[in-house]
Amino acid sequence: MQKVLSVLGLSGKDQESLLESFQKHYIETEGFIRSYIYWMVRSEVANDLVQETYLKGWKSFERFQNNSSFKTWIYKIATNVTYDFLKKNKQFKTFEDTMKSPEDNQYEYRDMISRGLLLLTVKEREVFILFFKFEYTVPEISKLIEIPEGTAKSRIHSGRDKFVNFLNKNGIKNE
Amino acid sequence: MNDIKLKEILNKDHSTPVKPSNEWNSIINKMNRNKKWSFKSLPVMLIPLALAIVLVVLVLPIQNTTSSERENLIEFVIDDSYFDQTSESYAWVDYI
Repeated sequence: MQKVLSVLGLSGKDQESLLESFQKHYIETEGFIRSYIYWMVRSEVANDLVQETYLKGWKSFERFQNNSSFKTWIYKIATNVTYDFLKKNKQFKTFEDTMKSPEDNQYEYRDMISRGLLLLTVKEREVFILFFKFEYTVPEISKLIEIPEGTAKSRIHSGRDKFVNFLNKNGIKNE
Repeated sequence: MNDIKLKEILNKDHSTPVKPSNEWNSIINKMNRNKKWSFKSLPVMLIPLALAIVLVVLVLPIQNTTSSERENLIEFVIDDSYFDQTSESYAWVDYI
């Protein structure tokens, strides 16, 4: 830790505990953040965006208020990083599955989900993933991304309709 | 299709990129690169070094010139060739 602190030009107990605290939060939250970003961009580029998220987090970590959850706070940063990325890289409107390998028997399934998600707007996709993949409730989503519950419900329903229609057209029928 | 079925479909896809083993170190390195620059962070030793570089790059090449080269250089800088090169625009004065 001392070496890391000297590399960063930090000194003193406060700075040491700040970095230790940030690393602890990183260990606790990186799995969720990586998974969330991956489901938004559907590419291995998610790993780069995870790093960018924590870098931005570190820059403003001193201003982070402990009365809010770190996960909520870093999630907002991850969302901004992801939105910026999707805005700048319009080609990601057509997913390029970089995780495909010859012995990958899940590829077609994954590709179908990616293409289905592509039909959703970024805001719909965010709420859809939180609800159906990460199994957040509507009040939790509303609190996490600071939107009214009605807006969250409306995005879930519109995203759901688009996704289910896509699945139906691709041979996965209502059961 | 009900919500439970939809969740089942999404949960069949377990793909997530593998966390790079050295990710925390990469973040630390990037933190270091992105440190804000300030005069305080400038090592004091760099100031004489910068002056030495200025001396080597600007002053020494001028001092290494021969006296004739220096004269030419001074002449080039000082001499105003404008009046030598212009034609006499008031030639009509001669006819008066």
